[in-house]
Amino acid sequence: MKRLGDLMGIVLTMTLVSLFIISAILILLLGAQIYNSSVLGLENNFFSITPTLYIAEKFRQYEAGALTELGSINGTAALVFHQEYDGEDYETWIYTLENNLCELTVKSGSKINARAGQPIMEINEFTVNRLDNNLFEIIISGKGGQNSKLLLNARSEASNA
Amino acid sequence: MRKSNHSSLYMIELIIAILFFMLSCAASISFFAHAKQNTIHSKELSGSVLCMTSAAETVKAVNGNADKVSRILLGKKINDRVYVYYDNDFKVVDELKKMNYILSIETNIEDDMLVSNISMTGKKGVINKIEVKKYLDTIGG
Repeated sequence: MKRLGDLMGIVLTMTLVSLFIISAILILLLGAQIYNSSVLGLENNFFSITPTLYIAEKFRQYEAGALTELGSINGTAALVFHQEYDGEDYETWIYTLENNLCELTVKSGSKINARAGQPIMEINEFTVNRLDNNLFEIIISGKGGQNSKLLLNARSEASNA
Repeated sequence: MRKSNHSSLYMIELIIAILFFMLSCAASISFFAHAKQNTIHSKELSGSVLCMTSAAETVKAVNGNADKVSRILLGKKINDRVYVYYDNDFKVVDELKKMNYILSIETNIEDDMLVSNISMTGKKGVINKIEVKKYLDTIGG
């Protein structure tokens, strides 16, 4: 009888300890999963939204007296902002080169060397379309594979080029 | 007798330890749930800001023309309001079944001012809303 009591005590203790260990593991797994999903979400947002907002800022920067148009470098789509500075016309090109969003400012009419541009951020894909006269559609696929789309209105006259 | 007392004390200690552990678990789970909610809310805000910015830029580009806004944003025009339905990833959807968020655009012209109220609503209510204004005198520069 005493042995049975001891055995029951051991079984109860082992059950409690097992419960303790299983709960600890479950809590750890749950925490890790939530942390992982948060970090993944933040990374996806960062890699897709940041370059999109960078281009939006370019639109704001060149909205006064500038001209915005679509261009092409090495067969890939590009955005071109024209602006006059100190009596000279300059062009700022936004384009992709080897999975990087790049920016290059040159004097108007100069030969464009895509490799001379400044890499801004790593992206998968950059697409730009004109939907209306002044309305541009920017689609960026970030490094994490998530797409972000933004429509931007060029306040200045958009070229029909 | 002494052995039995030791065993009981050990059991009580273990039970108290597990009790504290369970309380900590409950607190942790509540923190995790809160963190998850914050992540979802953050994702909703990021997604809605992009969609609403696009809507605001479109409204300004077409001077509030509801038909054009509806066509460009792939939405539906109902009683001079434009509604755009989005799924969980903020992609435009046609079917109400797949919809998780609604973008609503209501545009009015007050004197020479174009005023557009844009709001994004989720299942738990309004996520974000903005008011867009444009002087119609500025049309064509």
